[in-house]
Amino acid sequence: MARWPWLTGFALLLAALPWAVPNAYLLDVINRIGINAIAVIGLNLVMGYAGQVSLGHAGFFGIGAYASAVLTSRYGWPPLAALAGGMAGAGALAFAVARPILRLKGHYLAMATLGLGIILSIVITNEAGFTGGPDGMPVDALSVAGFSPSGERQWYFVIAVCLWCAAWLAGNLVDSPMGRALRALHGSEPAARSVGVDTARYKARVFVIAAVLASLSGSLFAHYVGFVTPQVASFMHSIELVTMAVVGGLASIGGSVAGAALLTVLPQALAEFEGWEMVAFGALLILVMVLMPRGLVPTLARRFGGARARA
Amino acid sequence: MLALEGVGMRFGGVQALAGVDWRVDAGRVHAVIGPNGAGKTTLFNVITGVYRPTQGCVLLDGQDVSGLPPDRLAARGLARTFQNLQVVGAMSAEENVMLGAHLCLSQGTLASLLHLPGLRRADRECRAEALEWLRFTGIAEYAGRLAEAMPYGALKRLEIARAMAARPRVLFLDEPAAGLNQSEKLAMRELILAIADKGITVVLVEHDMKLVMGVSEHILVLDYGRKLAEGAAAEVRANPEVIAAYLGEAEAH
Repeated sequence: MARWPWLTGFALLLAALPWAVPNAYLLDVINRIGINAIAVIGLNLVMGYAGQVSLGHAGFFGIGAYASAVLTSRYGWPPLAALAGGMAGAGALAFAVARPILRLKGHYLAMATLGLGIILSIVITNEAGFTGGPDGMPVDALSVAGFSPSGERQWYFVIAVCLWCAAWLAGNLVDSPMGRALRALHGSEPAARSVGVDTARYKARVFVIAAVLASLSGSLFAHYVGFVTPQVASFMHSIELVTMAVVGGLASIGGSVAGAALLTVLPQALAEFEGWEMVAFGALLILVMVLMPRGLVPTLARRFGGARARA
Repeated sequence: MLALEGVGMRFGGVQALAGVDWRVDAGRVHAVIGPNGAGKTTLFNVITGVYRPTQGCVLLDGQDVSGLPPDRLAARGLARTFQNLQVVGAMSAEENVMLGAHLCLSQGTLASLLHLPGLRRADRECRAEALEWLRFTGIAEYAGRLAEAMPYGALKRLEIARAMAARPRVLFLDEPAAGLNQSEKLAMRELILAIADKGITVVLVEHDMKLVMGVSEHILVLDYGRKLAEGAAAEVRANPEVIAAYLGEAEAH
């Protein structure tokens, strides 16, 4: 189908990247981009395609991160089981809150998801007996059937495979009957309902998928960095994820990756502004949104060949 | 197949509909007419589940369906178009029509994520069928175009194509000719008759009397939310009360 060229291109890019990168520091930045991008792809399904705002997405990221940290170190779960447990937990929570929350629209939905994120962040901070509280806690190494990735390069391949799979699954979803129903929720809810789309059910489903991806991303982060703090579930992190989706381009999977890349790289690249880096960062974001209101990837895709606008 | 019994709809202090009884028989073209604000669109919205009637009930095949949400009514064979266009601008014409076939397709989350072969095959068939409906409504040339880039007249037809893809038993058209030019109106008339020829019951709200009289076998006239008259086109046209409501008292006498 239409998305196979760019999925193949993306796979080739991911495969070639580690050989083009000169040092471990850059590879570390790339790994962080990849981890963020997985969560942003999920968030973009909710926000960009289905048109539902979520300002508490870092809460699900936090569930994954702490599931991997707590279940492995305190309960002796194998890392892969903890990772799956986190995904299941995040999905179950998303499912439970989806119906009441996603009935709300616009600002009210934003407030409700914000509240959800804050609750999760506070629970993580307060349950110090399990989570180490505000100081955070160390995380055991990831190991799968005896293989334990170590060093930026090995981790790179783990993350790259997960990222590619997330992009592939999301691309499939968007281009399926369910994806059309989701996009219709965004474009015209009356139209969607008039042809039989049970809107509440579809909102809940996409919310669960996004939560599961965020949890996966959180688990990878926890194992990769080796240490988690409640910061991972904070409001600031939620905003960061939303900004990545918006700047990269809503309703664009490529945009999710581009947005994650830009917002992960920029703060580091601007470090030489010493003290003024956040100001420069903010100014750049404003500039991008003014010049490219649709976000990076959709705007560029539109400029260089309309046919690829859907990538 | 569809019957309204004493249907009333009140919004705060406004009685938009009051005590409307009406029967829609299978396989005919029905029209609802009346001056602006007579309650025509409200009647549509009550029947298609957008509103729950505050009095009376809507019966479909003898079963009370009043207050069922639109998606459940769609599953029972009702489809509609909207007076103010409701299309998904960011999807192509083809995808908008494929959306219409939503209920005919499997919607498993896992199948959607993995694009399992069964889903792919069903989706291909759905795409072919969507093209058929685009052809049927005369807008096949726009198949790959984003709906937001389509002209108004074509969007009116796109809504009909989407509704047809849902394989309805009853199709509700809310002002299908509004905003169309003369030749487009003639083409719309042909399209409505072609839909009726397929055995689908059509109910339309329309201001253009020429179109209404040209296609409908049965007409319901509303005025201030009440039923003013109903019957065959010729009867209704000759009804002095109807003439009065439309043209003013002076002309009627």
